[in-house]
Amino acid sequence: MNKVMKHKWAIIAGLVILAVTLCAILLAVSGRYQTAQSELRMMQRAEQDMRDHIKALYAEWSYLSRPQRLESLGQGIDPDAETTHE
Amino acid sequence: MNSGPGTQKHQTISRLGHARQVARTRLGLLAVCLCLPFCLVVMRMAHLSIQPFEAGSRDANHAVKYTKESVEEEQAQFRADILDRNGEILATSLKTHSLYADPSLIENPENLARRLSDTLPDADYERMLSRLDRDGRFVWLRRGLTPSLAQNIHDWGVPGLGLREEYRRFYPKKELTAHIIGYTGIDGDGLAGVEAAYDPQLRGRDKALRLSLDIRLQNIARTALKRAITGFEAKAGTAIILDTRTQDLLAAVSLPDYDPHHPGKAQSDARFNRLFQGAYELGSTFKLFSTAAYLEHVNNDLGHMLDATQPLASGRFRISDYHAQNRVMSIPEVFMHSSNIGVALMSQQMGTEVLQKTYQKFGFFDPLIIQIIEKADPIIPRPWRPIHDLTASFGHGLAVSPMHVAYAASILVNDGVQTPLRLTMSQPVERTAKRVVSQDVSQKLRSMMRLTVKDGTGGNAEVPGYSVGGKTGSAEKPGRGGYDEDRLLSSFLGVYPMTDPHYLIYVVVDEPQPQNHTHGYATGGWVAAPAVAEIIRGINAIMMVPPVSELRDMALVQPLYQYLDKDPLKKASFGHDTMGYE
Repeated sequence: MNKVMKHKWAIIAGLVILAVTLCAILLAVSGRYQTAQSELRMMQRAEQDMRDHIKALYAEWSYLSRPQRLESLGQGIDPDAETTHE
Repeated sequence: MNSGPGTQKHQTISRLGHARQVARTRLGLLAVCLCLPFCLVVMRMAHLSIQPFEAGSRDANHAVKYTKESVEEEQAQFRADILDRNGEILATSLKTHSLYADPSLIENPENLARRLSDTLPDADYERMLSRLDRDGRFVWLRRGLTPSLAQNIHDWGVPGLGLREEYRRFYPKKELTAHIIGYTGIDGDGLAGVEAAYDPQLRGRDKALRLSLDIRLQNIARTALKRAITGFEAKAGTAIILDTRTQDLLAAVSLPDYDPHHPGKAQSDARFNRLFQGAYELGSTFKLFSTAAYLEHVNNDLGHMLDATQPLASGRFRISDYHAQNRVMSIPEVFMHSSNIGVALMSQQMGTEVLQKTYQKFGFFDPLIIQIIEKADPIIPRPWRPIHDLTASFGHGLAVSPMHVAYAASILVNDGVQTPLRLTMSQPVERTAKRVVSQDVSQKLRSMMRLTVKDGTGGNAEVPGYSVGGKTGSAEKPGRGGYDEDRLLSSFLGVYPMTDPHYLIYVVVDEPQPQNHTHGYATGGWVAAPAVAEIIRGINAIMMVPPVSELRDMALVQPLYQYLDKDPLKKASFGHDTMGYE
């Protein structure tokens, strides 16, 4: 007990340094976590944008391949139609 | 009292000890006071590191709240895709940008209004200015901007202008499926068709809704119907294709239709869904069901003769045939010549109860069981008088939607067995079916339907090699003081192959005008039957339907020839079925 009392200031100082060190480590980890989280959000956003883009492309494909349009295109390349023009 | 030097020394030591004790306590307190804020700062740093923004400044809180609201709004506007049975997109949600303003932050509203009206298509300067020059913190300026336009405005960097991402509904097939798919409002609420009926399954969900429709068949049906309407200068029309084996709705067209992106710009007539909302007296196609009722409940003998030599009188009404055969006819003859007198006589024999009970079983007295909101209730005569027994047997006096008739006919040819009408692929094909009429009656009606196309009023629906059967309908529309013989609802209900029914096609054309090439007729046989034949040829090309052997086809109708008076190969004239009211 006396030994502890004798080094109590050293122990307190050690504990304070330990606490500060742990806080610094926590801060660093937290910073890295937040950076990673921010990167993840950006990637998720990019993924969502890509999904939206793909969706728009599917919609465009569906629009371009609507039966009425295909019929018109079919009529446009009809060799009989060319003969009529001549 | 003695106070020696020893005592004094002891007292001095005691005072020093006390002073040291006090000093230690004070130092301890000072240390605590110094460490406490430090600890608090460390704890706060740790807390902030773990949970950023949670208890931050007002702005941070506002930012979090705003982000949450935006995400919630975005999620609410997002709707699941609607697909056809083959996965073709019929409706999808696409991300767009919407422009808003905070008028309190706009420094020069006139200048900005001018700039916006020059940039945004169809933007009006006055309207733009009235929105910018007002009190309040929020006003929408334009929704659904293209990405390039949104980027352009974003690059201006004008304080008080903002862009918000939103989902907007896009219908790639435009008007082709308008009456079935319906449309949504600006905030993503389903307002009509499947969009309204399936709103809970679509709103904020990601799982696509797959319909039973086939967009290719939908296009075939629309093209044929449009040609019939244009060719006969008609007012409107509907076309339905059903799979009689599964009761899948493969195509459903109502013309005129509209662009679902701009339903507000369409006339109310174009927005009217004639497939489900329209209740019409559909005429002679009802002879399918009255004949079935007669065969099921009164007399199963096709050779039973009915006297159609004279018009049938009932009170002040007289029922006649337009092209009267003026003779005694068997049941197949009554059916193939579409004799009003013949079916009215059958109805007289079976009585009100039997007819009503059969119609009830076919669903003509109830709204359709299908998840569509805009449905018409059938219009049933109240009170039901004896004349209604006669008129209802050939489709007058009782008004139902075209979908009612198509579904009921599908049950009839499907061995008389009823399974639920299917609009979505997620709805299971029910194995537990309800019998409406016997298999024998169904078989006899199928033979008579084939006879009608082969040798009767439906000859224009014939597609060689495919055993097409059907029934014509030419109903006069109710007008002032009775029925108007110049305003017809001309229809044809076709089924094929009759040897093993698979597809049912029902075309109704509203108020077709007689044409020279139809010799002045505008009846179902002239107007709708050719449209049905065109649809059948289209289905054959896409679904690769195998042809039926002539032997099997003949086996279907041969047994009926014994009941025919005339040479079966001689075509019957395309009659105009009328009420003949006098």
